[in-house]
Amino acid sequence: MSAVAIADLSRDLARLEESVRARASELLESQQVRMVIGHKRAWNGPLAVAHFAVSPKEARKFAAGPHCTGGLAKYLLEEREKDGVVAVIARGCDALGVRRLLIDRRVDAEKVLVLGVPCAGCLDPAKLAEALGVTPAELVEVTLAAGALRVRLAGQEQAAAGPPLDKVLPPTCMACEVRMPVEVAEMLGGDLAALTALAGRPPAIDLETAEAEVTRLEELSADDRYAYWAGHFQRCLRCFACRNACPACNCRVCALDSYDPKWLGHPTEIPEQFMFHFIRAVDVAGRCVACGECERACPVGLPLMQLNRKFSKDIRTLFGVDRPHLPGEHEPLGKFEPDDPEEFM
Amino acid sequence: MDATRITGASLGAARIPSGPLDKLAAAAARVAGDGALVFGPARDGSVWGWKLCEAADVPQSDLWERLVNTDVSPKELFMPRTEDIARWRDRLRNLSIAEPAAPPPVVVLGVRPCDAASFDLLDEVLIEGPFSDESYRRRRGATLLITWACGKTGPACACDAFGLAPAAAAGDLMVYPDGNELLLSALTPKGLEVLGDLTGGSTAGEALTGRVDAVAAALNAQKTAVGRRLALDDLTANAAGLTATLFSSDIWTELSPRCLSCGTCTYVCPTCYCFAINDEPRGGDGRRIRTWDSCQFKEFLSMAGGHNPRPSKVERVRQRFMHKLNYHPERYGKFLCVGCGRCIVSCPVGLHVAEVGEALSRAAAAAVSAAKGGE
Amino acid sequence: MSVAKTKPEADGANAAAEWQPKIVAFCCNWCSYAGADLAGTSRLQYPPTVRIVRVPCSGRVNPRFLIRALQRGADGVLVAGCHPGDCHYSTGNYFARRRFLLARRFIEYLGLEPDRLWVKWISGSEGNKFADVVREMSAAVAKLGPNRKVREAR
Repeated sequence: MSAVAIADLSRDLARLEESVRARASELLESQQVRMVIGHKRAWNGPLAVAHFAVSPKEARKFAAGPHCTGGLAKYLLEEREKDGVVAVIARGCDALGVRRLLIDRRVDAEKVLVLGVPCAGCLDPAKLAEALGVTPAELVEVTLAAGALRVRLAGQEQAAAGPPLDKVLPPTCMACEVRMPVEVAEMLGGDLAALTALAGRPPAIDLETAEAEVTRLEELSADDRYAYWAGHFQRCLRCFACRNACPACNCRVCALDSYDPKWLGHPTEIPEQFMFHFIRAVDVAGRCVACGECERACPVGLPLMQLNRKFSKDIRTLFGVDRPHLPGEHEPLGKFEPDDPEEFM
Repeated sequence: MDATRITGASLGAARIPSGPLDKLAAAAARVAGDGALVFGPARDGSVWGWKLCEAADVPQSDLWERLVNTDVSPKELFMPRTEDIARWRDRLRNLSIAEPAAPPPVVVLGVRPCDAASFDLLDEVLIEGPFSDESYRRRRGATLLITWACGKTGPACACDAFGLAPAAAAGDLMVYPDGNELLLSALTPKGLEVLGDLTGGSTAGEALTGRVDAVAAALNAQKTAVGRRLALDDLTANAAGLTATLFSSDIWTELSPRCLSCGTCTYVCPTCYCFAINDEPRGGDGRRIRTWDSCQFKEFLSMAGGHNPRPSKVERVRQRFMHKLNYHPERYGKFLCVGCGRCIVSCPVGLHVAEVGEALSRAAAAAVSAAKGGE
Repeated sequence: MSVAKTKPEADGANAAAEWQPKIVAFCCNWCSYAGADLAGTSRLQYPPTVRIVRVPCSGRVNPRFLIRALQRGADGVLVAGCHPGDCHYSTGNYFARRRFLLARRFIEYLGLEPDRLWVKWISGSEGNKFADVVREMSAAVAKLGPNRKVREAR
């Protein structure tokens, strides 16, 4: 993309933000929706947090841009029992999350309005901090200007030029194929040439590159692989942030909470940790929308997407379903072919 | 605020060069007792936690210049994530019950003052209250805490907002960075023994304690970024009088929607101490275990009949922060928060004690001014 | 990181010498359970390593049964159902097939031995096949040795 278009990016984002606020106000004012879920500036730090506007005044707080991380779809589950329509300001991954809830019949399509926003990717604070040689907590403010980030660090008065956005995206954003969200009721922002051009670009990395770490692990010896996972799992705090952030983890009663049968015991020793992560990963296999929320939410940095990607990789090689999370594809574990491979059977 | 929480009284002091700490660790281990285990900060994957250090891999003092604090609190050294209460075997009715062995002595090398202070808070609840938690008491009693004063504060640090300071005196032995040297100051007889062991019995005189006081005062004068934004004294000054107002405040419905109901904040928090007791029966055998639990889980308070007194996030979020910022101050006169900043860093949706504390103090101020207006 | 490590009690003195694998077999009610029955009534010899759990259909078997069995002391898990096309419920075994193709690759990915999971199609008239499968699987799992990686300490 040309330099001129990149220079327009920050202007586009400002316009997008304005358009999100305006449309949300309008919908709330006219009472077409009861609530709009989006992002707003956080109390501290560079990232935005989820924001739930129920009045036009609150809609003025909405934000848009690469700092708006954090999935929004899952919040719909808590609104499902209430009357009235809820609108979601949806990036591509949020829209896929909503789609997941609709397919799983956990949310009523009549009660959701998906407002799509083009997305250039959401920054990974850990990567950005690493690029700048600081800790993530030291990032105070991040803005996007002319395709590169401007970062203000703790103790600094002025923001300085940072790396280009595409160097500090999490792997899920780099492999994202829905920067222009799909299955939305309407797109916000109107004509945003620079942003839509950027969002419309093919993913920065292809599926195989995204799965490179899975392939690397597959090539280790069994004992090394076990040591790798046991080493990560022993760190798991069992806080359930991965499950609670995941739009595919939407069962009425989660197996991990169930007391009868009690699938998951309370000990946090290695066998139970394997049990926990096995159940979580298997239950979202073929249903994962590849948003990366589990990994983002994890307070101890478990590489949970490497479990989810293992399933998507095998589903592709075994059943020929490349992108089970995208519209037009079947649920790979909700169907079968009579001539599926048999291998060891 | 209670100034003694910050200054403390030195029983003796010594000076050692910066660099390797194996001698200090060895001295502390000897004082702690036979078979003492030394734990220090260590990186595990992408996070910093606490690891058992062999003599050869005791960290060097520059670690504490680089590392603001660990991502996971050291509380699991006293409250393991999983611990046995008892194991039983029923070999066809020949029932035998085994209780866990006494915990080994432990040296924790280089906790930050906020974390050291968190153990004082826990002690008040778990040991000094009407009920003494035996397991916690035994582990705590077998511990020697070496506290490392903070030469700089981190961006999420908030100790000064919660009645502490970057070099608040807590633990058995304080370490203050002083140029190329480290000043050691004993706060307890155990700490003094370590100094004695380290220096061959000669702890220095008043000149050095004077230096300790000066260094500590300089470090304690640091203000944290979060602390500059927060003024929470009103919340402890009149905790009892504010309970009803804060409980019914609108801030809970405003703040709670974004909560994921995960346990991250409670599990990284050094002052959260909720636990669950469960039996894990296997045929006739089994074990009764205690594990961490979190008031943020929706099942936390669900009862046998199906009733849940805190059915939604509004009640659960309110419970956690009211406990930290109102109920505990009401009973103990101080916050159940040491401002370590872990929830500020780790909460996946940015809902943490600083934002809630600010909202609460605003609600409290509004209540006070409304009451004044009504007079 | 735990301060006190509780050691699992050692198995009996002769346990290693006498060790035989424990295999949990989930057999579908309509074919494989009948096949096991036929193996018994035909007085076919097979190792006493297998514990059969009767399930309505191989499609009933959730992959988490596998990890639970391994956690609670099994050394191997056999899932047995009707041959493709013969399912009493028409399609249950086809779904099971997809599920366990993935599950086996997944336990391998976690560092477990994939050979601890077997899936076999055994009809009601295949008593011989049932005995053969148990024999082969017992030998294969015995070669792997006891499952220790995800088995809970007792």
